[in-house]
Amino acid sequence: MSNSANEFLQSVIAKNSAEKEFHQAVHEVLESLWPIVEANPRYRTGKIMDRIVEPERVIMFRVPWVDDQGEVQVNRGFRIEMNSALGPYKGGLRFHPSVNLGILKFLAFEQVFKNSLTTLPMGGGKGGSDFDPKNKSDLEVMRFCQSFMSELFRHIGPDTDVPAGDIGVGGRELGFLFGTYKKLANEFTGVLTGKGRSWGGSLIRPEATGYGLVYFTQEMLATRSDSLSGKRVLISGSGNVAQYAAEKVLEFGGKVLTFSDSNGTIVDEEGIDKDKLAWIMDLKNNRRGRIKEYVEKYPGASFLEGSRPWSVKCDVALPCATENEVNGEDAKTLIDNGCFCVAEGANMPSDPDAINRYLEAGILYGPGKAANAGGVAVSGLEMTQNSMRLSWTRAEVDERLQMIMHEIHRTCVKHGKDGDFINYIDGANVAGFIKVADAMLDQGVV
Amino acid sequence: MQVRQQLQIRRFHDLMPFRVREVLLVSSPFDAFILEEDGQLSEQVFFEYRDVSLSGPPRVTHVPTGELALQRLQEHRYDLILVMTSLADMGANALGREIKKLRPGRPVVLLALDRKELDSARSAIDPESIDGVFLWSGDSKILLAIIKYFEDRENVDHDILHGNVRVILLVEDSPTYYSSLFGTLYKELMRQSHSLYSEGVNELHRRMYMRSRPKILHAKTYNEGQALFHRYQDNIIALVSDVEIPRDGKLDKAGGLELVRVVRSFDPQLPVLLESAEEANKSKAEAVNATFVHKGSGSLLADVSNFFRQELGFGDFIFRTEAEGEEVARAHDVREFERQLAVVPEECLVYHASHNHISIWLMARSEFDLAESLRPRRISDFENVEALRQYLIANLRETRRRSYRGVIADFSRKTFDRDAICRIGQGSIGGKARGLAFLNLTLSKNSEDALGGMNVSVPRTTVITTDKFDEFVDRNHLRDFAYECDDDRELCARFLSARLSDELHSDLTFIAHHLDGPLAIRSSSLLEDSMHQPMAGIYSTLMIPNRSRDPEERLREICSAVKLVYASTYFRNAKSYLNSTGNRVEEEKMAVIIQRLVGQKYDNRFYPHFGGVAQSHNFYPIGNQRAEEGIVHVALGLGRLVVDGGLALRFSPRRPGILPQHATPKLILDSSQRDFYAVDLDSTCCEIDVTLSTNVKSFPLRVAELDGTLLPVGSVFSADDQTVRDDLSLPGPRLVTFNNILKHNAIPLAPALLNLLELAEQGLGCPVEIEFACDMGDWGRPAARGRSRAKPILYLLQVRPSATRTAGKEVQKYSFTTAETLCKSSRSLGHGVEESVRDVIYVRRDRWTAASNKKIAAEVGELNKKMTEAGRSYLLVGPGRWGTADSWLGIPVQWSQISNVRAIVEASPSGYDVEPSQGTHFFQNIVSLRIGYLTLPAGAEVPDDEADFFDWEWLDSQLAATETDHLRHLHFEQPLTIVLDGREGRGLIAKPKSQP
Repeated sequence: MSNSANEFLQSVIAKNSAEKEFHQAVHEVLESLWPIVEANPRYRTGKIMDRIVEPERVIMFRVPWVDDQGEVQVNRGFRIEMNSALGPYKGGLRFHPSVNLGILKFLAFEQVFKNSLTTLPMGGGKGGSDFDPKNKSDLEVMRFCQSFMSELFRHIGPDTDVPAGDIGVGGRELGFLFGTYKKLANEFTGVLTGKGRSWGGSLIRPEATGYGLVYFTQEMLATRSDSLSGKRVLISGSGNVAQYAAEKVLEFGGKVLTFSDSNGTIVDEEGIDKDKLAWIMDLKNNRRGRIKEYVEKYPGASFLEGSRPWSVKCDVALPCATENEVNGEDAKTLIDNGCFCVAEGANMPSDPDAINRYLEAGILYGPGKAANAGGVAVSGLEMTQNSMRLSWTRAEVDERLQMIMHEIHRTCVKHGKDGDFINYIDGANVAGFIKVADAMLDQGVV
Repeated sequence: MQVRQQLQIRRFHDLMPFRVREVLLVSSPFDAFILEEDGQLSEQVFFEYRDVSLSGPPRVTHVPTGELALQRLQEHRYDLILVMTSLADMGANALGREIKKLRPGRPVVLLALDRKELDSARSAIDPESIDGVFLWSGDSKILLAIIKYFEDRENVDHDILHGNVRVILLVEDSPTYYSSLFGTLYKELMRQSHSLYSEGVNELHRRMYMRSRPKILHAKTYNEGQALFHRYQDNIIALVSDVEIPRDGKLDKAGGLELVRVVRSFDPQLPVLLESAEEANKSKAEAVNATFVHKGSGSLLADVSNFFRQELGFGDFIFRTEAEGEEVARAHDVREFERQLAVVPEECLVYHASHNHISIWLMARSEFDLAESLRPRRISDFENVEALRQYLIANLRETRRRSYRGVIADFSRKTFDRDAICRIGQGSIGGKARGLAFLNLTLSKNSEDALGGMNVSVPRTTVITTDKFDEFVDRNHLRDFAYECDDDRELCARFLSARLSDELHSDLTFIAHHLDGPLAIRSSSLLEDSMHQPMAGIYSTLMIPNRSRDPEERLREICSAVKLVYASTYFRNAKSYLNSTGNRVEEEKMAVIIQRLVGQKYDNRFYPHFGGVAQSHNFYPIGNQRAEEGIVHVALGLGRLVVDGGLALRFSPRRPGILPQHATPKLILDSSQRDFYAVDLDSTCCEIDVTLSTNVKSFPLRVAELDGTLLPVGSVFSADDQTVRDDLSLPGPRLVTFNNILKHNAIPLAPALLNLLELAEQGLGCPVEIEFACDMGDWGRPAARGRSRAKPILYLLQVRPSATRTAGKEVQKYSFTTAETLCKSSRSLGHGVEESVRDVIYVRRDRWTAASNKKIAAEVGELNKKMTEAGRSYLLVGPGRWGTADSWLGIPVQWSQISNVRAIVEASPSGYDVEPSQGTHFFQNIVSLRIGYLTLPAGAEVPDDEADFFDWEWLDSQLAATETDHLRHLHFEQPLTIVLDGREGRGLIAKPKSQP
């Protein structure tokens, strides 16, 4: 990092001395973005970095509630309203004992860029509490949520700040929070996303990340005048992202060869067609079985016990399982076997060594923050539907999702093109930043 | 007067605390000769007792003089002294006085040989010295009567207090008459008691029934009679009185009539028998609604006997349509009475009900509470006669059911369908059956309210006692072979080809013909489930379909299953376990439980709605849970999923609404069961399969949904809403959450289990484990046509001590630095300090995957064998649950594969977050053998001053003594130090001193 960047980082650390997680987030952003700041004097004069690392507002509040034994409990609540240059603050609520100001600022900071990348009008924020829902009864969780929202409600709104779920805040908690907001604010609006279907939630939430990944992949291939049609595609994992990615690959004419779980990988050289995919979905979603049962049903397939899919020959690889599931060796094997496109459905599935190999080999590499932005995008689409008081059909939501992924890709290309090569990492980082920075400049020193 | 006690057969055990065991007869040799005309007096008494099935006849000792009597009394204890009128050295009064000085309170009875002697003695009697005067009429029955009379006199207050027994009041001043009457009265009472014999379900039960017979109290005057009546009026069932009795010191010619009037003012219905030598008194007797007998009648005693039968309900119940009408039916006992009640004509019922005959007859059979509850009811209280009939039948059934609860009956073909628990054989019923019997007894003492409002029961059970096992092994010469044989399959084959005794075979034939539906054939060994040796899962349980149409086939299944359970006594695992507990295989004996399986049939499957294990001590309390609040593991289907360590739900019975496993939808999706166990009714049974599990199969959840059994316990995950809904009509993956029960209280399962655990813990005096199964009946669906809705019932299958080891060497304040520590855990089990372990066997992290768990178990077994041969114990370290049956959740070792382990560390890598082992058979045995057990959160690797950790780096850097594909074995010169604080659940393992 340059001296000036380092100095800046030190000033951030000095100002936020106890917030180690936030220091880390700023450090990572500075590494990729400082050159852009230096190359664009307007960002320096506008003190964009100084402003962007400072939350617009931090709300910290007391959350008292009474447990089932009649004992009073007190937790702490937070809402970091980081940046609203592009739209109302948007970001999840996390209920976990590890929650503190540093973690939430770190998450809020990242959220700004993630949301910006979606090209939707969403700012960035994050919130939560050190409350642990894990050992609480339903009624205790409800009482806590009601107390939490009784403070938060005055700071949020469909055009102000729109929280969503995160760790410890699922459908149950969102329901309680929304119910309380509605009562206190006396209005039924899209103030939270992730709502239940029957009261304002959007369709294709489970499918969004998987579909979005494939849309993005298709866009990447199109840059080389290619497509998924006829391509051998490896998918890891077997959850929602993998399943719906496979569904979309089949729609685009690709051939899905693998699925995996913690026990190993199935390989079907005949290709996993619609019927087989339906069987896998039933296995995983309804019967909650193990992927190796596939070979009992389809004996022509094979099961690689304890292995990931990366040793199979392919054209396209879509890691959709977990963090660090592709290491340098795996990446080399993929590339040696002819893989020329990797797009990440999971968060950070490729380790740094693998990423270096992709870049060195010059293959198409779509990092998670761009390729799996579909999930975040649907959040924005929920907000849109709420403001229109309309519920779109699956097809309508899907169509809009595809448009968003197209836009994300276009933005990444705009900022990541380097000759014939597109560095999607830089593209994603820069695209997210520039949009926010320019909007901040437009809106004056606020 | 005294507080009424609820009538239960068990309290009859306390009745008749005073028994006459030793009688001293003081008479001249000639008088003794007369008495012994029909044989020695002791023998005569013995035969009298035998004839009425009484036990413990007293011994009669004869002395010829008063001096000798006094001498004897100084040397021995005598409960009753019989004195004849003519003694050589002193008169009866004088002797009586001396006896009273020597032994105050001992009854002294004057026995006259004839009337002349009687009249002469009577006038000179000193009531302070002589307690009673009787006439010997040549019939030794009078001896029985005298003995019983004095026992009754001593016991009446106690027996009324403790057993609410009944009393017959006899008012007669003439020794001639009352001597005869006593003989007749007691004869009738004994006959009636004897008829109650068949009501008892076992020998003890029968004896106890006999103690509940009415007592006879005797008054010689009106005043005494009145006083006795007032004292015992709540319990008096009849009055027998002379018409002419002394009153206020003078003979009152109508004293008896007056006494009847007094009695009638309190109880107009009380049966009364008046006797008189005056025929004119007959009409006066009838005027006060009393039965009359003439003293001079040649059939006096027979008339008295008739009175008992007709007015007091002694003997059989004869169904008639009217008084003196034709007999319609007859019932010898309550069981038969219930059967006849269902079919006799309505006019019969009306006749008997309107005259209180039923209440009286039941009273005579010691069904006091039921009789009293029926007595005030009128026919007009019921809508119609049919309603009356159903009411009577239902009450009878319920009373019998309650009185037999808590009792282990002797196997009887006659009462088989009635008895909850019965035994075949005279040996021990074994540990498991003992626990079951205790549960049954506990349930009998507690109402549904006391059990949280839940209907709780024990399944129909027959126990083949240990003497049958001995008989089987010895007759077939299997003992030596079994001790030596190391091959479980060979053991099974040999035992299957051996023969059961004819007697046992015959009893099992009866059972095969009468017991339908799947059966559990369980081990119940002598050593099983004792305080320190739970031996859970060591022996076998078989579930057999028992559905063949051919009873011979069913018999074959049952017999084979029994033999296989016998064989399991000598399985390798069992021998290994016994040796490690310091027991000898020869000491072990096997009883076998044949138990009706809980559940319902669905096509070719049979299973309960859910089953599980409840423990009164939670070894791994999470969050706000406290160890002493206990923990419950439950699963849909057979509870085998729980005991094998599968994906069961765990909850605290005190906080059932808080389910840490279900904190998020993802956790529920990951941790809730995906299939369930049921008995496959189409499977063959009892072939040679040492796992003995071929009849139990796993089925997916969708089958449970089709069967309708998912409804009470299931929920649905909504992907759109990312939430779990308790509504199976919605699409989405099915989850077993038990929300309907635990959160919405469909049945009060948690409070029932909480109360049961408390009761069991109090009863056993230590923390306990209860295995249970639940049949939800018709919950959530309409009843089948033609029957009422079946309610949910919670069945208790086993109770055993849960061994917690907090005794032992006090943990001192051992202090080690982080650098000196190999492992630190805040979730450990065990208590004490171990400083002898020099070996560590651990799973190599770089070689481990969940897929290799089975191989790892085999490798551990091999290394354990070497350690056993070398006589060394070791520390075992590895991921997931040790001992689980599911190899994807941990290392599926059997006990014999780790028999020399001293402590175990469960340390899983990140992402392999398996719920800790608890409540499984394996775990149970680990605890009871004081194996230290430490659990670490997934990925806890880095040495840390504050948090739990395991120093893998240090371990990996040590030189290995042996390496296998997946394991490393390290041996140190200096021992590790293992410190476990059972009170706080913390554990620490320090590195060997010379190797920091």
